[in-house]
Amino acid sequence: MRLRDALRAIRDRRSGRLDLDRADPALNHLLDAVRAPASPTELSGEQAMVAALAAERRRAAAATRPDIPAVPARRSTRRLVVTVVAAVAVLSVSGTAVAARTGNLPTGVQQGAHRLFSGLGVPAPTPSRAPTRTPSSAPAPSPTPRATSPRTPVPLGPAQAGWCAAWQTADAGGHPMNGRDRRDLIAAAGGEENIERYCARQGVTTSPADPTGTTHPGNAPKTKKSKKPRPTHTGGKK
Amino acid sequence: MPTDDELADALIAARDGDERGFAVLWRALHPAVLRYLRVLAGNAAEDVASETWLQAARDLDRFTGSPVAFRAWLFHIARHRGIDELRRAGRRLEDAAETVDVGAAVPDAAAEVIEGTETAWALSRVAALPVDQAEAVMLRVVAGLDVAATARVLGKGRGAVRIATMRGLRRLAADPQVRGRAEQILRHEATEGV
Repeated sequence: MRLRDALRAIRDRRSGRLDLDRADPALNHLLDAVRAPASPTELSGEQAMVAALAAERRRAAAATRPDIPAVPARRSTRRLVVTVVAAVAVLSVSGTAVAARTGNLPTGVQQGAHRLFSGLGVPAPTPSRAPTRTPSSAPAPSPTPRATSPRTPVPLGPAQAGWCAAWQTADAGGHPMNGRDRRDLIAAAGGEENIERYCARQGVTTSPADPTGTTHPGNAPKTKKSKKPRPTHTGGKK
Repeated sequence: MPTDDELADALIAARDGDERGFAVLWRALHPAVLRYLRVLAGNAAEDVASETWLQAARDLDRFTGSPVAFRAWLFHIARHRGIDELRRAGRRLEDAAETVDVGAAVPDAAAEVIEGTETAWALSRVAALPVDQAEAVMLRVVAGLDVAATARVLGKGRGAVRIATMRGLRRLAADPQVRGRAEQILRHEATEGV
């Protein structure tokens, strides 16, 4: 019985490679391909992701310590996930690029795509879809869809979101930002005073007055200690 | 691939919020997580993988164990996040395997996110399996989990995992595309004189 033999073979060699592996060159090729070494694309965005993970760990550690009030991490995490993923998606998915070229992205994303890739013909969001802002607080959006960007091009990759996250962390009194990223961020934003606006457009709020920050534990309202911000699924099925 | 000792050190460092610790873990495990989620959650894989890692970072103090156990724990989180994503998208787990098709039929650029086209192709063949077989194959072959860990991640018995893995592999071996691809490559190598 082939089936029973195969079952026994798998059972006998559970710590080693699967028995069917080597039996068949076609299957062998497929399995080699699914466990091939990581491609550069799969590992792209490492710096931003690793920074986000370390920040998340420190935030969670602070939140579970009894002497420090819990920090609601959920919102910022969400924002981080969205930012990192959006950056990767905008930069790597040419389907998005097509949408960007035709101006079909949501306004915020379109604005970001335009700023990064206006040289490639990505238009600004149409004025009718732009969010209404008070004229004093924001510069007028570029009215010409195909104007070349006057700014130096920003390097590709999810780096921008990472910079903003790192800048935000440093600003809140956390882990200091590394010098090169800081310089790049200032260059990309067009000056240190523009970073906040720049990061806001990236979808990362950088307001130093963020009430969720950990800088003033004494002033923050006492919340239940060790309260987890969200239920997790690590314990089993929902 | 880092050794178990290096991973164990990285785990301790990561628990303290050290970036270098997370870098070692992420580099070692992210590709497998991403590939598993590509089979499970299709084009949402990157998003779900990020959520998986962030949750792991948050809950790392609750994890105590070896690097091998960490791997299983991480895939456990990835699976739940993947299922959450399917639910958000209004799909069931049973539909999961139909979501990835990186063949010519879908000119979606998301498929090109994986640079190795051979890997993308291979994942699309695994994703064409019934989902229980696809998951078993991915966790055993790509994640490198043993039968017991795979059974815990999937919430199934060991026997069911063994059978699902074996059926999946057998079905892949019989897949005309898999056979055709191998023949093509052999022929190519023959003409190249390799």
